[in-house]
Amino acid sequence: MAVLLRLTTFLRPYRTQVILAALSAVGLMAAALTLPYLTRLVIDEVLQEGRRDLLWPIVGATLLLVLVRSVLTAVRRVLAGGVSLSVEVDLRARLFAHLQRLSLSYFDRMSVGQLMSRASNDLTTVRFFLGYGLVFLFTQAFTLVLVTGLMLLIDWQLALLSLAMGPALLAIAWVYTRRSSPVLLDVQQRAGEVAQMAEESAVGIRVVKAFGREDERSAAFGDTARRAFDRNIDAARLRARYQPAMAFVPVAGLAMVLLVGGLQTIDGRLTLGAFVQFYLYLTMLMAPFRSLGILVGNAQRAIAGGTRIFEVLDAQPEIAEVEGAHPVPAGGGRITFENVWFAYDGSPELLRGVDLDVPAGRTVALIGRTASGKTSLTQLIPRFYDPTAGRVLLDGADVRGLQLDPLRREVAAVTQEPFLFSASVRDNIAFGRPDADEQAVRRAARMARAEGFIDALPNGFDTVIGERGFTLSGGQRQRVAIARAILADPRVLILDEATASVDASTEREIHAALAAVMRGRTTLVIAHRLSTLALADELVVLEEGRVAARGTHAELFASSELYREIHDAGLARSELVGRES
Amino acid sequence: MTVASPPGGRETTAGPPPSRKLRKLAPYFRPYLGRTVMTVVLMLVVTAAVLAVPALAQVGIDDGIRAGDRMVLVVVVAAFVAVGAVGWAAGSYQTYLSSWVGQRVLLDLRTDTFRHLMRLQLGYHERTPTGRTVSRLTSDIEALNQLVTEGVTSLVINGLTLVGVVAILFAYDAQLALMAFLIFPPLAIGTAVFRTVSAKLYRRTRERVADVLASLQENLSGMRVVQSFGRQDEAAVAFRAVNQDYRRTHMASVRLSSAYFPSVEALSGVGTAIILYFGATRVLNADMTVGVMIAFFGYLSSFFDPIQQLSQLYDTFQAAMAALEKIFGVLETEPQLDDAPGAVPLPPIAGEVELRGLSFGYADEEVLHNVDLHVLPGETLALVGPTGAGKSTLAKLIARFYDPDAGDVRIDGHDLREITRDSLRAQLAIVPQEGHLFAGTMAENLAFGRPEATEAEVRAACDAVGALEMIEALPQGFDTEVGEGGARLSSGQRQLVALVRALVAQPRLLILDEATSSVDLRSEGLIEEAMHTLLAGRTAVVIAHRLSTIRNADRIAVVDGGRIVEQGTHDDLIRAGGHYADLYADWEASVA
Repeated sequence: MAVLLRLTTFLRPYRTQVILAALSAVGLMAAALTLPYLTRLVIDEVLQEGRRDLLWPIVGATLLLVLVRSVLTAVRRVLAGGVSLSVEVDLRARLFAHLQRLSLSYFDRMSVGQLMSRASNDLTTVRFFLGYGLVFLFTQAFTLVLVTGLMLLIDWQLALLSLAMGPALLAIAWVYTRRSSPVLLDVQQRAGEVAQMAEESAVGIRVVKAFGREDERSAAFGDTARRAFDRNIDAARLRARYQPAMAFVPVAGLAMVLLVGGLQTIDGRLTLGAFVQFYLYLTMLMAPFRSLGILVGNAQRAIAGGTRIFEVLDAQPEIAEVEGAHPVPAGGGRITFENVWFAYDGSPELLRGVDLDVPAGRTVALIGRTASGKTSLTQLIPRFYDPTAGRVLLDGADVRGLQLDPLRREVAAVTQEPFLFSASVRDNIAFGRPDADEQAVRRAARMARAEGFIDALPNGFDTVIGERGFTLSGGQRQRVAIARAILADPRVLILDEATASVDASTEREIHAALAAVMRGRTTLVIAHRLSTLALADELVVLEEGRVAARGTHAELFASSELYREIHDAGLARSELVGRES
Repeated sequence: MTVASPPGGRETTAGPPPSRKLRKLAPYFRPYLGRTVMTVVLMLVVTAAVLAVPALAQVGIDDGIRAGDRMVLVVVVAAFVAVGAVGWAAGSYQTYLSSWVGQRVLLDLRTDTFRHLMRLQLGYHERTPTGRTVSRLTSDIEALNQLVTEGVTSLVINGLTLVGVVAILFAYDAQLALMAFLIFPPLAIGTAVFRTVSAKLYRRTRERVADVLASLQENLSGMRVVQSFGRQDEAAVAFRAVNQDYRRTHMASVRLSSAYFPSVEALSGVGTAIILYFGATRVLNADMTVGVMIAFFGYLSSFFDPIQQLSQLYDTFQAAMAALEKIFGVLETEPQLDDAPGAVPLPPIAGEVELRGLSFGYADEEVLHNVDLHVLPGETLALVGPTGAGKSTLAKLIARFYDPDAGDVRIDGHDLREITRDSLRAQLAIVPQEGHLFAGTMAENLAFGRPEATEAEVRAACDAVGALEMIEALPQGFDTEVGEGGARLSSGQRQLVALVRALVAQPRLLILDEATSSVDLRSEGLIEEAMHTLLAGRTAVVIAHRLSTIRNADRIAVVDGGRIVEQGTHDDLIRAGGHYADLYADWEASVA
């Protein structure tokens, strides 16, 4: 219930439209309720009393009322439909904006498939309820009150008799709600699981095929889909038990009225017209009662969907700008790690007291075994994660006290599998600085040694790349990402295995590009290849979550076993070692 | 930044008429024919129960109340309750059965679609964006689900009601019925226009929804980049644009239905007025009873309700038809690399690979030209060459992810096209660069290629590549849940896991496509050693850029421009002073 109330707060900006829609609904109901009265007049006055002269005016009044009702219906539909659409669009924009504020750790936990399911399926249930459901509910409630009043006026005993079915209906509806609510939430949950599995299978299709596990994967998907089916059937069973029952109760009421009212009419205590009017009103009441079940189901799905949406909206960004955050201080990009400890949630500490000072403009390579925390360390600088203890400073200021967006703009990373958007090459390069002019984009591309191949693309810089566009090779993607970093002009550059997947010749090209970019910036390089490490002025060895050694190539060759291993592997051929020295 | 529309255009949804699409769905109902027939019968009962009410009222009024016969009234009321009870029972059973059949058909359809997607060749998946594939299994099925849970019942019952009402009215009084149906021509024309325009608007709306979801998905996938460039606001602006575009398009169809439905209501009002006037006149002339007139009112409203409900269903119906079209689009895509008729299982192999006169291209561009290559059983062959030379393509052809355009690939003398897929995959493992992990425990992921592998085997493989310590350090060791894509592991760790996965599968032929690019050198050394011990005597094809890895290969083949330009041992090739020597010199220079 709290969820429903909270959902209605999204109607607030459209208060006027909602009120107008409600007023139209009131008006059209009033018109609709007058029609049975006219029927009564026809029966009692025209047919029983033989007053033919009244027939034309009554028919005219009927036509007029019908017209009014139609116009009001149109008004109500446009308003309510518009509001529900606006709420959907607003909620989705809210979700989008909120997701963008959430920390990366949130996306480690939540799959894209799950989030997509919330932004589409769950949102639709909410829209249905807020748009049609709510206005419908209001209209039906109003009908209920008005019709009840009118029936009491006509014959209060008969009215009370026929209204006895009300409490019975409410009791059934209440039980139905309570029982189906958890089931429906589960239905949505299972749908999310199916989406998640579909997503990860589509992404991992190469692995599935590599091992020939198509059948097993299909069987596993079948199981997941089957669980969704089972819950849907549970929901259907509840629907079958309660909805037709809710439709039957009013029929029983109607039968009672037919009997008692009919007897009264025979006895002459009720005119035939009044009896028919009463009967027509009661059939009008049946509609709201009958749709009560559907409405309840509708509301429940909205509760389930809303719950899942609020789960996202209520997730607090673990990393947020502090109150009164400072702008990034001027400086050349000096980075200092002071006794930094770090762990991903629920995992053991990965960094255990890293102390490292990288002077502005320096290029430092981080080396260490797989999973020694090299990448994690670099992610602390732009605050993708915060350390569990210790401080990270950029030009002397604790990054936690800085404005977040400006901080992140000062740090650019080029990774092994850079993400490019489905947009033109130009838009991708200018991602960090959309106001950059043609020349600046070209210059960045040239510096990244990417201009040549971009010009050779079907539409040059306007060629659309990414998932829905032209496919670039790994080395080309890498260079577009480097151009993107160049144009953003950050103080700190992070190269995280940026050239691990390219051949030696391309690597040389990229390195030449990188040398130009690294000038005047602080650069952290993560690599396993000696050729890449050669870019660095100094090397830092991470081991057991701490800095185990640091120094120049020559110093480390003397002191670090890890470095010697890398060095030896790179230079195992004696003739080369000879040539190098 | 603008979100581009795909070059291939939007997915179009125009297609064959609904009846043909529905016919394709018919086989899915066949296994549940009994229940389906039962459902239809129950729907007939429910409709009859609904239609009986005005008729009973007529009898009650004319023969009971007006005739002053209390007995008739009591009987009518009893019949009324009985009809209601029958409707209740039939409705309850029908609600359950129709949901069951509908959900069951959807389950089968969804499972079939998934199975079919898994069977489709890699080329299909490389061409098709992930989001599109996922939609087939989720939102499209969801669209059908709406039709199944709410639509079909309503469709059938309302359709039956419509027919029933017309028949009953004509049976009561043909003349008055004809009068009432004077409103039918404008209704029919209006409905036809509405359907046409609404279909167009609705299609446009769906395309916009697809844009919105595509934009959302892309931003979620690229969240790290968006955040690192601090571009959240701009991304939100771009998203707002697609979102608002959707809103505008959808609003047009809201406006259309806001014009149509009230018009139907107005027409129904006109019908009521006609009956009121002519009915009253006829009653006064004693041509008709009051009860019949009242029954007419009842039936007329039963006539318009279904029309409104059916029109309302039209959106749901259209969405479902579009979804069906797309799902069948997938199901009717022939898997190209399915087992040929008469394909035989590949017997246990020694691991000899032979490529003869092999040419292959993607779309219109040929990537490999007339390649000949022979890998001896037990040999480790390294493929080197510049990025884009065709090395990975060569590897994919050996694994039969694609079939060659010309020439053939033979393993132990068997043409890959003549053997069964499963028997090939059981003896071959290919490890790509990205170590994709599936949701599940680490142990499940490691045994992905051979779920029957014992724990000891898995541990031994981990130990051999030096991954045991790393896995045991995870919160729950081998039972740790790894998320979608294994988000919590570093890229190096994921590659290690992918390698262990391949080793556990115990292939006779192993292909490593840049499989060790992110692991540290010691791990790489261990991996090489592990391949020698765990896979002793097995054939390996290795693509790597680190020359340290390559040097240990038995033989090196240099691929350039889609051809094999040199082959030999490291020393041979250095001595020959060709491409390899150049590559090596580049590497050497970068180190110095």
